[in-house]
Amino acid sequence: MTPAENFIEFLVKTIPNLSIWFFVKILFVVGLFLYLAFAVIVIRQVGLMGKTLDGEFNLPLKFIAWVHLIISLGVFLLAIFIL
Amino acid sequence: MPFAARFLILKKSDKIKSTVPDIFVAKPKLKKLQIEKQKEKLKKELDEILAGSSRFFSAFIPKPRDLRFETQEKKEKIVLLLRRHPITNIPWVLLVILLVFAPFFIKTMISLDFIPSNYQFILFLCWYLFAFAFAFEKFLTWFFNVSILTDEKVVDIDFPTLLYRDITEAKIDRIQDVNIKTGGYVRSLFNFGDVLIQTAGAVPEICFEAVPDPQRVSQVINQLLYEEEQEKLEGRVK
Repeated sequence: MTPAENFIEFLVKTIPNLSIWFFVKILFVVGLFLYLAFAVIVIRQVGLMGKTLDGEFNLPLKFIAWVHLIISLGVFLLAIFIL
Repeated sequence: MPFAARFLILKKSDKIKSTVPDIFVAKPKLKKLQIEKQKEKLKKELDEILAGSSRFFSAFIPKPRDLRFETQEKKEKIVLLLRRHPITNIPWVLLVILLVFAPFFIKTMISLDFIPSNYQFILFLCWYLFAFAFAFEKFLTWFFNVSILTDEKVVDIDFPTLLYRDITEAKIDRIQDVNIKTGGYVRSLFNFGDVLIQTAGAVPEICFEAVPDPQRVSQVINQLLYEEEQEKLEGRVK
């Protein structure tokens, strides 16, 4: 048996109601966590861009970036609780 | 024949009074008037080249208000701000539209009943988050990748990847050559192209990519070059 198969067998034995959807949930949560990190980077990026080219449209863009982060956080939490 | 010569030995401190009269000496007031007239003429010419409407989302913005860039000096004025022609955004805009409607098409084509409803819901949310992120990133790249012409220098600001920026600058008087590159159906139809500026600075070439009306951009650069030369001459006269 390969180490991966050993690991899956170990999981099946230790968690009685294990299904494919459990792995899907882990995938979703990890993916959304990475997306959350990306949303934070987007805020920093908008800040850097605004510093480089300072115009009247910078404030709405920063607002959009923050809303994007809040929505990402919401979806991340929703994935943890709903799935 | 007797040879007679007279020598005059001068000290360093001695002043020689020239007996040769000046042929023409311009009056200082007249000189100033001429310079100011020339300046006004240049300004008018530049305004004529830059005439036209300018909106904030436009790709060709003459003398933008309330806009500054990081390396701008206090007295430096932005003459022209350029972005890629809006038509270059069409491919990603179409892709975003496709991404928005894709889930509905997929739902009609394939039955997703094997996926639990809560997973379907999160999947849809994730899909639209990614679609939004893609569109927002593309817009930011278009909006902040700008080329700027000021009365002192040429600036090209690029954001090739996340959190990475590339600012290239060259003084106007270091410009050696300006080339325009246009061609192809789309570029000819919508009148946009590349403006290549060769400089004598550390960066040999600055490229304004896919900017609208490259002919007019070239005219503005030439006008600025001429103004800079005039300023230099005035500096010498003063």
